[in-house]
Amino acid sequence: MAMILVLWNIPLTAAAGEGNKTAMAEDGRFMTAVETVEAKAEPKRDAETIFSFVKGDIIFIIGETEEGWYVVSYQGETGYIEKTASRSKLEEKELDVEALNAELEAQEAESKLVVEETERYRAESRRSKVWGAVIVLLILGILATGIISTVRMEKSGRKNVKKNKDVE
Amino acid sequence: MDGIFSIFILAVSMLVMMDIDIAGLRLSVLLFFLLTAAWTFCRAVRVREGGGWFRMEYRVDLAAIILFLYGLFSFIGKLFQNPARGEIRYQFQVMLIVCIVLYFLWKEAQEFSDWYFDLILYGALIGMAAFLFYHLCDDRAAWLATELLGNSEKAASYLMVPCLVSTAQYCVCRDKMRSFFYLLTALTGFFCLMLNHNVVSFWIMVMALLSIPVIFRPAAQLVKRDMQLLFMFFFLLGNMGPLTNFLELFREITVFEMKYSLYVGLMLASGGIFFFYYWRRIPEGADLGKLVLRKMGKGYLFILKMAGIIFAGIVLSGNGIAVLLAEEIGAEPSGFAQIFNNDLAGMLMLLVVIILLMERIGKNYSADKPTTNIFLLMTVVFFGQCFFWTPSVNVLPVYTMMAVMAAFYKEKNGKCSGIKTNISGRIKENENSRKNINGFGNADGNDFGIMEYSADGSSRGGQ
Repeated sequence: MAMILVLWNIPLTAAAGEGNKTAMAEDGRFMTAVETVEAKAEPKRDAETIFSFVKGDIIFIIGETEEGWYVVSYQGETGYIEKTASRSKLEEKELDVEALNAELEAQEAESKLVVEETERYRAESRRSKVWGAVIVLLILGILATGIISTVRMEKSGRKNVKKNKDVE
Repeated sequence: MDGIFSIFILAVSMLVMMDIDIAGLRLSVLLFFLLTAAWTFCRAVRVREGGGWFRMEYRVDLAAIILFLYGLFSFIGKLFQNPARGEIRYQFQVMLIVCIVLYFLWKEAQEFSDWYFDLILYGALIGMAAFLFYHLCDDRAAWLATELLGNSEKAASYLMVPCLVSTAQYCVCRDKMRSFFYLLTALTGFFCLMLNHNVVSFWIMVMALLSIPVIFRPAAQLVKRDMQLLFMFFFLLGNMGPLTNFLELFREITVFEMKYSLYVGLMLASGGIFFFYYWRRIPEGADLGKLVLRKMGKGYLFILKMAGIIFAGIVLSGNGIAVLLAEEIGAEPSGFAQIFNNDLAGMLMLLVVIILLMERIGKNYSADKPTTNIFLLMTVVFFGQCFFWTPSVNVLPVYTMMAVMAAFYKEKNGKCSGIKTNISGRIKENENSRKNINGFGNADGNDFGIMEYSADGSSRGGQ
């Protein structure tokens, strides 16, 4: 899930990187925090800490500055981690493509399910409306046929009685 | 006055399907009780003004009076029962009293109009609409028809009323538009029965369809219409498998197994071969309304017997190809067994009344009394279904009326003049004298007989 969150942020972080005036080398790798690592708002030691990663967190490195800072992206924001200070605290992370794919597929299936469920609900409601109309028409039609035929027969019965009387 | 109350009771029975308890009684039972009490009161007023009271003519009347007194005393006893010993249930006693009183009221009301049948159908159409809405649209109709939707057996007993009435009426009706009304009602009823998925009810319905040419005079027109309905029933049954397996047409329904659809399809095809082999032998231009198919009638009787034997075999063995049926039979206690377990004395008395009533029905039977035969068909189906389940309370007055009318309705017997023809259609013998149709058709190898009803017989369906 964490990976997906990171990937989700890629376009945002790229945009943020473009706006950064500090010259930096293009990167794009994942690292895992071995210890707690702090990310600064600017590539300066005394800058404000904007977020800190705890052990096991996956960090997306989007570049490196000439001053020796990693440019990281997290939840749409860009932060800076000092390269020398964090050398022992960060570890290269191999991208688990299969797990990522599996997670993406699961996500896709889930959203597909939601869409299917919505479609099914819509179809059911449409079907219900069609059946409702058919049932109402059918029952009304049968009732009307019964009533009309009764009235018609009563009329013809009365006519026959009248005819018989006239003949007599 | 009698007619008004009959109409009310029949209408209420087909329309009140809510299973609500009021003072320990179901809403429908309470309404029947009140309506019957009002009818009895009106009859009592008429007696004071010089009208007739109940006549004690037959042994069954005496048995019914004894059963009524038993029900009354049992009901009073229940009222004085200590409530601390458990919940007091007196619904059975009340229903028994109501049915016996209705028996006497309907016995005296000898005039029967076909309007009553139509009324049952109109009421049932509304019930069927609620049933269809529940199974095809959504469950908004559930509160309206709790009695109908809660239990498949009760729904089957309800749905079989319009199915049987419309089927029998369709077979004997001669007016085109009226026939169309009965046909549509029968088809809607069949479809509802399919959605209800009660295998016993399928068997009962098939047996009822097969018994029509046996109970009624098997005129070609009647046999043709009966075959149309039988074909439609099997066609629907055979197609429910593919419809429920491959198409998402219904909201909530038990899926029909495909193998049964195959069996039904094969049965339909083989039955069609035999039927058309015989049907082609009817001389061209013959009046189907007057042509009696005696051999066809015998064939129907044979098939009916066979179906009965197969059904009994499945019931007794409890397995075979019809596992579903065998399972269903054991699932619900029969109506008779339920009364037997709760009230042994009541059940024995009820049995005596039923036996004596059947004796009267047998005496009143004639193949040429179409209306009485509809009553007979309904009564037989009612007693038949009591072996497998307890029928729904709200249709008990209808079935009571049918049983009483089958036993006591004095319908004019259709007289006929007849000519016998051989299979090639050549006139063999001409009988000029009018004779009762019961004696028609000697066993001389002739397949057909032409009958001609007298005015009261031929006006059937015209009402």
